[in-house]
Amino acid sequence: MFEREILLDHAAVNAAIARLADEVVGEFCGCCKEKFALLGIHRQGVPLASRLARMVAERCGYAPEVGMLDISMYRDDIGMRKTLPKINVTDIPFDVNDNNIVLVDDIFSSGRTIRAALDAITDYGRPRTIRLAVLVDRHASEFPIHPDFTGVDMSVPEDFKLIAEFTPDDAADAVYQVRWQSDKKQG
Amino acid sequence: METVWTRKDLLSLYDLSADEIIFLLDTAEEFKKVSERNVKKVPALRGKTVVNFFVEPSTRTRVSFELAEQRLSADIINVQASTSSLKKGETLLDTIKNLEALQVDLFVMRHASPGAQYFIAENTKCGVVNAGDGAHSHPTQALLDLFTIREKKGHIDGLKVTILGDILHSRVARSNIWGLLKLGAEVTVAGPPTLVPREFESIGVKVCHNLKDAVRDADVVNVLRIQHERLNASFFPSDSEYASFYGIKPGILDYMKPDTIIMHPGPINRDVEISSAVADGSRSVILEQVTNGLAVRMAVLFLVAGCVKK
Repeated sequence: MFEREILLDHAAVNAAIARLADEVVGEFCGCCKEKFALLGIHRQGVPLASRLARMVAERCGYAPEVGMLDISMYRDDIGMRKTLPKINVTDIPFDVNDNNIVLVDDIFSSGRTIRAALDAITDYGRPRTIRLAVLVDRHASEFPIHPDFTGVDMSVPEDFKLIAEFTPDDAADAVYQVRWQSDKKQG
Repeated sequence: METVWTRKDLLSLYDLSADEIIFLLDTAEEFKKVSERNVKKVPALRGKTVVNFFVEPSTRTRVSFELAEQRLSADIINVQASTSSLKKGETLLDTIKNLEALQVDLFVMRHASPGAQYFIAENTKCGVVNAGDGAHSHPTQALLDLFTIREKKGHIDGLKVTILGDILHSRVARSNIWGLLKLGAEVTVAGPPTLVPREFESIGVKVCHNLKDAVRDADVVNVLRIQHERLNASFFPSDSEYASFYGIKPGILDYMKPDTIIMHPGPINRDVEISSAVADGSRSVILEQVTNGLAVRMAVLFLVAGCVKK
């Protein structure tokens, strides 16, 4: 088992989410006062979206609706993975059509997860805009896809995986790095 | 959490653990939502080719599988025995090997001989899904029944389930029994002694030949079709005699608990094993079984395809 090395502790994670909240509020609430909704991508994008929604509400009084999205059915690597991911619940409690949707994910790496998420979300309707908010951008994109809102920029060697963890009481949130046990890269 | 599913084939519920069955049912819940959307399609099996290979006739199971494959964006080939080279004397394995040489990925297969799909699964790198093998197994029918029971009752553990009818010839009954027992239900099989021999007690189910006794405590009554095509001897005097002793009619509902659900795998012989009033009544979940069958088959194809390594 490889050692986990902590990169962002609770305070640093909190500061990163606060930065995200500031950026999202600046785009949607600051000038044009547009409504928007957050859509967390399983797994860690889901608790992150809830935390982000709370911080947005604290800043501008607008509580965005929050949904959750699973992209397993939209991946491009069926049969290529050692194990299949578990399909988690997709729950979008708001109308996607003509809405401003902010996709929320923990670690932005290759961009493949977001590519799948864009396919998924457009099967639910035709949003007015889709933006991307990530806690960490590790600058390893393999697609012409990049975050619009970023908590922290971080360069990490390719043979390390980043893991974000959010606890229900927010007390032990953290981002770790762990060396890969195989040759696969972060998606 | 990663999956517990590592199988390239689904051959029988007898082979699966309770965890694997529950994982399949959980996966099917998300696929059910796909069919409730405006866009009823996901790209999960894009670029994969599925062969529906039916060596025994089927309409509803084949249509359900075909629609499941379309909703997963797979490419589909339908082969029926009556128009295939099996008619010219080609062996089953040669037919499969020739199809495999066309770089297909999955076989959904129905065959009259029990175990045929096991033989094929051992001899191909493609995934194999059993769509019914003789009187042995019909795993996706049992999974859709389990899914429907869980959806209606909230759980399966501890439920009393009565399976009524031609148990002797029924792959649906066998598959249901394996699945229900693994998930902790109590199973009673019921019907005339000629179709429900006492030997079934040896696999852990109760055997009952009196209809009222069989349904009295049941949470679920699963009524099987009288399979005239498999009944080549006189197992009961006539359809009307069967209906009068073992048919589920409105009067029999009075002996059941008020929340007992009535299931039937279809096609129905109306007014033989089940009366129209019951089949179309408020306790019937027959059409919901059909809807759930699609979701379950999408889940099965998705999981099996994910484990095919070629």
